[in-house]
Amino acid sequence: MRTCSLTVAMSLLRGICCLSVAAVCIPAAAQEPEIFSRTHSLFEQIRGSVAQIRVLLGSSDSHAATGSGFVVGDDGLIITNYHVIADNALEPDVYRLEFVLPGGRRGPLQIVAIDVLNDLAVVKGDTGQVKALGFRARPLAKGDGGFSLGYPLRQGLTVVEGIYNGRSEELYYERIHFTGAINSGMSGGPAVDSAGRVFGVNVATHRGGQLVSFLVPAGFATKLLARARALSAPPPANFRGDVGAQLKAHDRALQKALEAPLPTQQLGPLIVPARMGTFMQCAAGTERERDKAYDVNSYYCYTLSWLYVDPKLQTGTVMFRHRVLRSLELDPLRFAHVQEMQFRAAVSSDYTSRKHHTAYACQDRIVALQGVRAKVAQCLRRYKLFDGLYDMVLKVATLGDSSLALHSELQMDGVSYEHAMELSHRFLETIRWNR
Amino acid sequence: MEPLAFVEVMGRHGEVTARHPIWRWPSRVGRSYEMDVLLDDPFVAAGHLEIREGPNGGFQVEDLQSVNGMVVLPSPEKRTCVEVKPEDVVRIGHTQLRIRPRSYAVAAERPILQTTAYRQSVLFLIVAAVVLATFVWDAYLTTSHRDEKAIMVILVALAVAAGAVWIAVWSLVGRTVGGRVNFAAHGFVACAGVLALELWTMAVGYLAFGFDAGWLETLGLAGAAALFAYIVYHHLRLASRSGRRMCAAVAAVVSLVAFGGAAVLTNLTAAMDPAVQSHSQSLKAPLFLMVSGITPAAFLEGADRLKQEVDAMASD
Repeated sequence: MRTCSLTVAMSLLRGICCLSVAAVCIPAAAQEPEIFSRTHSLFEQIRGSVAQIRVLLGSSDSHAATGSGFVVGDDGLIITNYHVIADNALEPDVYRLEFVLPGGRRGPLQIVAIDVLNDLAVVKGDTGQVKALGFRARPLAKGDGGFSLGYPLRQGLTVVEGIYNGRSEELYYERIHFTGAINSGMSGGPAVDSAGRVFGVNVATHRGGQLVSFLVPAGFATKLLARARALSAPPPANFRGDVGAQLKAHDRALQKALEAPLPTQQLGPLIVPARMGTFMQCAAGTERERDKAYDVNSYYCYTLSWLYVDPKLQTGTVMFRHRVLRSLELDPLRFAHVQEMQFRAAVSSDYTSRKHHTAYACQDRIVALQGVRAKVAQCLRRYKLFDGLYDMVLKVATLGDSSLALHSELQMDGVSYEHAMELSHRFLETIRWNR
Repeated sequence: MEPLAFVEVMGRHGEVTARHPIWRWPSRVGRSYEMDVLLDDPFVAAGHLEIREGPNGGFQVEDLQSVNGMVVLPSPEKRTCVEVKPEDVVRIGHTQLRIRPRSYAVAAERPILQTTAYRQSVLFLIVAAVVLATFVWDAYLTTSHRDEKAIMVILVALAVAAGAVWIAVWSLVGRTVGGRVNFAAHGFVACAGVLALELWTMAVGYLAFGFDAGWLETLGLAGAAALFAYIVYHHLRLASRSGRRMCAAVAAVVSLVAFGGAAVLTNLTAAMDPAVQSHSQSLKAPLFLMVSGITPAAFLEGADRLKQEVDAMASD
């Protein structure tokens, strides 16, 4: 799963949209069910409060991105996703924000407060006399219906029906699993109950799934709103400091979540770190080909804790991978060459850019682990916009046997130096070769 | 009757391509059949030069009002009448001339160099066979599938083709510049050089891995650059007429440009691309490992240096 991005494979998503509309439309031709008239009146009741949020490049009218948002007060405050307005938060000299309401009223927006961890932002504009949406106090029950609103794929204001499925069981931060066709462009729009009260904010969709979408629970939005209203100082020139501080808070929380002794698993004679918590997703695979004279079994786990920072950076995850290389009929020298090729491949985040990252600095040594010696390489790079945050990669290749080797990697994105060193140390201390 | 002097027509690389005896003073040079020295260069006048004995022991040459004139190399200045010494080269049209008296003292006989030993084809073939064997071994090591004979053949064929082109180019250069092909000798130099490079790289690789000495890999690169320069030096000695110093200087520059350029390019790429992870990638079989290894804590202490490095990069 990826946090909702505004550049999605449009054709695929259009395909999914069309299917759902057709399924609903066929019975509608026969007789208008009651649910439609209810949806219609609900839509009429709240449509005026849902704005399209546009990110514009410089003084031009060209959209760099679009999203949705909803008015929450007479003071012109609008709630949206952080990822919708991220460009403006980090580079206000390059990007500007604009809202457009269904009646055609439009105007510039200023960011008031952001919550990177929960992907929310409060922005302010001259919205005029628009009805503010209220929040639902109690959570819905699993199976309850709800409606999500927004501007999907620039199709105009759209309402989508869906089912509340409780809290997502795997994500690190609390998200509502909502079964509904939330599409790119609806990010930041409200999800409301049948009375029109907001219980969640559209945030993401499962790209590989069918209608598996995610909402930020309304509680986080009300907290951010309270924080925004309590602010007395004018907003800063840009929000880089705020984003950096929140990324650090995330790192501290993740460090705390990972502080328990590392669970282990056995891979042949090897004991290696295993899944470190419920917020980690793990998978295994094997590369076995008929004519290959060696095989590789891979095990990898990663935290479901991505944070969207801007289009060029998602961070805040910890990933590790173990690969057991076993020679089937290679002599030690040829097997060593296979190992060398595997060790050579760089391990790095999908998000790499000169805007955000320095080059890597690396070291490598022969390290004595428990019961086995290993070549260990470590690379570190720093974030340019956020002080004290690093990406770290640790690579281990055991040298205990001429026909069996473990290649392990630990990759930490957006962490403090101390956290990187502390987990690296425990990771290395945990690997053991039982003779 | 004996000739008084000789007019020598020079080739592009300082070799004499024709030699005309002078029987009388003054003598004339040009394209006309009335001349004492006949040249076929269309950029030379029918009567271009007149040569006579000079007052200071040299030869006085006078341009007979030709269109293209006369220069004494290396100066581009046109001269009408000038006294030249036996070492001076005069250019008229596209032809270079030198005038030498009969009494000119020639250089001493050059001893036949010991390098002749490796000009024998047999030695070249022996070394080539050894190199071929190492190519086959290398190709074998790099394959990891059950049946990769085709890939091995391709790898070896590519290496052999590259070697053949390298030797052919040097032979061609030798033929053009020095007048000698020396195929076997160039082949010997190339094969012995490649063998030395392979052995050196292998030794450094295993030592650096076995003793966990990353600095050896840097040293290994410098050594390889020196070996490469030595190979180029020998090719140059075989192919050109230049002296040892000149050849050594050219070889050093070529190697420096090749290896230094590659190193600079690698570093630039690493500095530009935040995805590049530059660490030693050498992994050999465990039996070559000679050290017991440091503790994880000691290893991670080394990361302080990495932190300083990237912090400095970020503040730039």
